[in-house]
Amino acid sequence: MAVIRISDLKVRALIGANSWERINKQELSINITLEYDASKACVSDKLKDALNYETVATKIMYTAEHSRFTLLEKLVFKLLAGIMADKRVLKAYVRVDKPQALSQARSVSFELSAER
Amino acid sequence: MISKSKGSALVTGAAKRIGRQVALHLAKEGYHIALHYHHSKPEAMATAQAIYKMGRRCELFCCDLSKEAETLKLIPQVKKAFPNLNVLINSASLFVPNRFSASDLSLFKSHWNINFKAPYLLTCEFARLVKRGTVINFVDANVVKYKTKYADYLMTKKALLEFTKMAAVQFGPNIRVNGISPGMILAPVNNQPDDRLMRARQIPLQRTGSPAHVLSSVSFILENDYLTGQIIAIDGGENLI
Repeated sequence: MAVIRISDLKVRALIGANSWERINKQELSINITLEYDASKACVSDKLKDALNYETVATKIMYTAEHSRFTLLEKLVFKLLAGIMADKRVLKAYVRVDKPQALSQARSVSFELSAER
Repeated sequence: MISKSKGSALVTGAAKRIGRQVALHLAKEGYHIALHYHHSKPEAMATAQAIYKMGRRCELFCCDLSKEAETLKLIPQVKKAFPNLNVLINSASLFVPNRFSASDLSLFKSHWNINFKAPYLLTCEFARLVKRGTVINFVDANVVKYKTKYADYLMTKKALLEFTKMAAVQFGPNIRVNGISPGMILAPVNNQPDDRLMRARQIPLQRTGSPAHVLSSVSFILENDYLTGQIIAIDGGENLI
C-alpha cells in the first residue's frame, strides 16, 4: 500500500465560536495522510495512474478557505469526507492545527481518520 | 459590528512596543489591521483583542522576516485578506549591540535581513500590488551619528533611511514612502540600562518623548498626501547634537 503525506499545509479560514472569529480569518495548519493502491503508477510512471497530491492539496485548500465553521471537528470531518470521495483512497487521516486557539499554547489540533 | 474603514494597514512587529502602539492607533483612526508578529503570539493575540473591541477587523500574520521566501508571501497574503490594503508600516526591528567583526556574521545577517531586506521586499511588493498607498519606515534618531554600541543595527537603519528616499522617487506618484526616526521614546530592550532620563538632559528639549509623539506623526504622514521621501525625527532634537 502506498502512503502519501501532506505536511503543514497552510490555509486561512473562518473558524471558531467567538464573534471575532466569524469575521477574521486565521491561519490553520493541515496534515493529511492517505493510502491508496499505487501498484499501477509504480509500473507505468504515468500521472493518470497516480493519486495526484497536488489535486488533493488544492481541493483541501479551497474547501478550508471557503468554509465558515464553528468547530474544528466539523471542518476536519468535511475535509476528510472530501478526500474519501475519491474511491481510490483506502484510508485517510486528517489533522488540523489552530495556532490562535490558545495564546499560551503553540496550537490546538483535532484529527479524524476513515477507512474503506 | 464592523464600521466603515479608511482602508487596511499592515503593521510589522505589531505585537509589542511601538509597533503595537501604531496598530492600536491606526485601528482607532479607522483602519483594519493586518498584524504581523513572529515569536510574540500571546502579545499579538492580546493586541488583536484590543482592536476587535474597537470594531475593527484584525488578522494575525506570523512570518519570520529574516527568511526571504516567507517575507515575499506576506503582502500577497495580506492583500488577499484585506483587498483595501493601503498602508504599510515597517516597524519590526532587531536591536542588538555589537561591533563590526568578520569573525561571526550571524548578527550582521540578522540585522540586514530584518531591518533592511524585509522593509525593502515588503515595500516593493506593496508598490506592486497596491494601487495607491503609503509606506512608513521606522528608522532611528541616531542614523545621523557614527559612534555607537549598535554597529550593525545602525548601518541597517542608515540604509533604510536612504531606501526610503529612493523608494519615494521610484514608487511615486501612487505610493508615498516616508520615515519616522524615533528618539528616546520607549525603555530599551535586551535588559540594557534605562539611561534615557540622564541622556535626555543633553538634548535640546531636555526630556524623553512618548508614543503619542510618534503616533501623531504617523497620522500626519497619512493625512498629508503631498509628503513623500521625508524622514521625520521625533527625538526632541537629539539628532542635532
